[in-house]
Amino acid sequence: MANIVLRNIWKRYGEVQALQGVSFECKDGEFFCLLGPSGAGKTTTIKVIAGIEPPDKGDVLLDDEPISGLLPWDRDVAVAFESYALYPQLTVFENLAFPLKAPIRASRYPKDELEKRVKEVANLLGIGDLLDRYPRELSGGQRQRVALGRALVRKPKAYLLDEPIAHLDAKLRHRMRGELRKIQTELGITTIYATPDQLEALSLADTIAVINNGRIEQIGTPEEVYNCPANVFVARFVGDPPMNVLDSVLEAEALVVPSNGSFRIPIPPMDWPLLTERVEGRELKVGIRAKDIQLVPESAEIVHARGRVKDVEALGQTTVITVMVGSVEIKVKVPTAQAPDRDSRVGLVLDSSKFRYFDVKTDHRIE
Amino acid sequence: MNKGGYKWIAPAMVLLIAVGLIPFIIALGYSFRAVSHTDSTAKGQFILWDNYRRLMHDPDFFNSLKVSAKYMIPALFLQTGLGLAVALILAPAARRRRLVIPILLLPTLTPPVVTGLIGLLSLNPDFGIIGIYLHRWGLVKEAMLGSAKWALPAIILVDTWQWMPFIASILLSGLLSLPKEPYEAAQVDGANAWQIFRRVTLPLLRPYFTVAILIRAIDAFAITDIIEVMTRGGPGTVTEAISMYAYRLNFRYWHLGYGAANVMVIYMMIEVVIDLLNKVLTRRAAPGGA
Repeated sequence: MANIVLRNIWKRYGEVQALQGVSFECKDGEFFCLLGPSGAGKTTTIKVIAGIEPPDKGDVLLDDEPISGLLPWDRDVAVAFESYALYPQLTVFENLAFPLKAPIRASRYPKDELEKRVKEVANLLGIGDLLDRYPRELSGGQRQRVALGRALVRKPKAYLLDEPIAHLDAKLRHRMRGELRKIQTELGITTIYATPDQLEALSLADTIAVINNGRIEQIGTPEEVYNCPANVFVARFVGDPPMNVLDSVLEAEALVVPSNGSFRIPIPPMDWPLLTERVEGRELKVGIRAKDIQLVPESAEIVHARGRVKDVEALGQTTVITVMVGSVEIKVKVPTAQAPDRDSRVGLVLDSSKFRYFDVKTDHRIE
Repeated sequence: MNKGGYKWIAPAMVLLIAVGLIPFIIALGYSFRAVSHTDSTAKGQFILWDNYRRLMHDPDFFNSLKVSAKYMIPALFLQTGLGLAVALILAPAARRRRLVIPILLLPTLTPPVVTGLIGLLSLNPDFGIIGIYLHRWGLVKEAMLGSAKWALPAIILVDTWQWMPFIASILLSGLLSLPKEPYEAAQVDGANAWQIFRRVTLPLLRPYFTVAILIRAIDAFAITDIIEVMTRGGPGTVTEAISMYAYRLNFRYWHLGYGAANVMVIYMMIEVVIDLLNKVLTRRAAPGGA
């Protein structure tokens, strides 16, 4: 049981500035996702919290106490490493039991209880029949589950899980996602979970911190991050396909998207004051999700833009269509049954109430 | 195998057959015959197992086996133990390993004859840099190499001076190549320094131990140069290891038939010991290799 606070953490590896002033608070019992592309600084953040890498600057607080001076084993956090970090010469059972045998905990676990605990976790992760194997005899997905199990076998103050299910096959990943959330809710142990998968973050997290280039881009609930992205990076990183972000020009209560077939979209009246007040000059970026665009016949009465279908990507129930409107590419999500053929001409209707506006220079959302 | 490949290994094969296999077969033949340059009754006649039978009643032969064991076992333990200690001490200086390892290997690169001479000179009680002090402080009263009690330990010491760095450099290379992740995991898991050493470092180093100890063991059976220079197997036969005895039989007494039988028995014993050692060293490794 603990809250974790990071205050202005900086960390450099040689030439690479891995973390640039990372701050966030993860509340007691919270499921906190660090979401970001690879190389964003997720693993470094986790290692800093675990005490494996000392930060160059900044404080880590656990239970409101600074722990920068504490060694990893005194912090009582459990880590599932992205690189597994299994003990190669120990069996799966011994790997899972290792944290329970450590001197600071050994007294708490008598032998039969230890065995019970290890088997419980192994069965939960579906590796109960692999206990006598060595790590090198396991597949990548199995190794990853052992790594996760080695963290879950303990009941620490906090779990730090670094892409713990990234290498499982899709079906198992889906199941494990559910299991993880269940375990976390049952135990109520503060969890920091690093992942590059926005869907994973949206479905698991209480709070998401989007991280990029060693900086936190936005912290918020999944709804906030998805619906009110703080900037263009978050808008395009969260959600699949990425949000359409179009350069546009403000022109008498409408947006004009310049291209060789430039088109006009009326702005809802409620947005007028905001835009006239906040936009310097007339240029801005407008963001709209693929699902908020409707596909209509080219000859329909209300059509915001007309274009040619460049690409059709069927994803089972839904299909993502890439439409070229002049030189501007727009992604549209439609039910597969209504998907048009490639190279056909279509009309687009944009749901302007779902528009998100971004500053053309800073990429920040205008609100 | 691709047929064309043979021509590439042919030179090596010819060499091996010429200097290895053919002499071995000739020696095997000798071992069943009475061959000697110093015994006029030996005219190369076929005597089947007589040479071998004689060996089983030869106290000098059994003495040589005992000497080899008394030299090898402490030497291997000492060299491996010290080698590990040195490797662990030097590991933090890992960045300078281009500098450290060549310096470390200097004694190993010295010809054993020279090492033996260095040992001989430094242990001399009158002017040797070590011998003087051993003598002056009363640690060793007699001349070390002339003493039945001290001659073998002296040889072990010199041998260790030569070979410990070799083991240390293998283990050091091993230490420097170990993955970093298990250490990070062990820290988080709450293992103390001893547990990390015992449960992570040692097992990960196991393949390196295996290589180092096997190479050393094979080589230790053949120790000749250092003994030849320092004691010539003496005093008496106190330091006459198996290779020294084989040398005496073959090239001082010129009993080539009997000497060949001796060498054949030694050869088989080395095979067995190395095989056992190999099994012990790789014992717990799971299938799939180390």
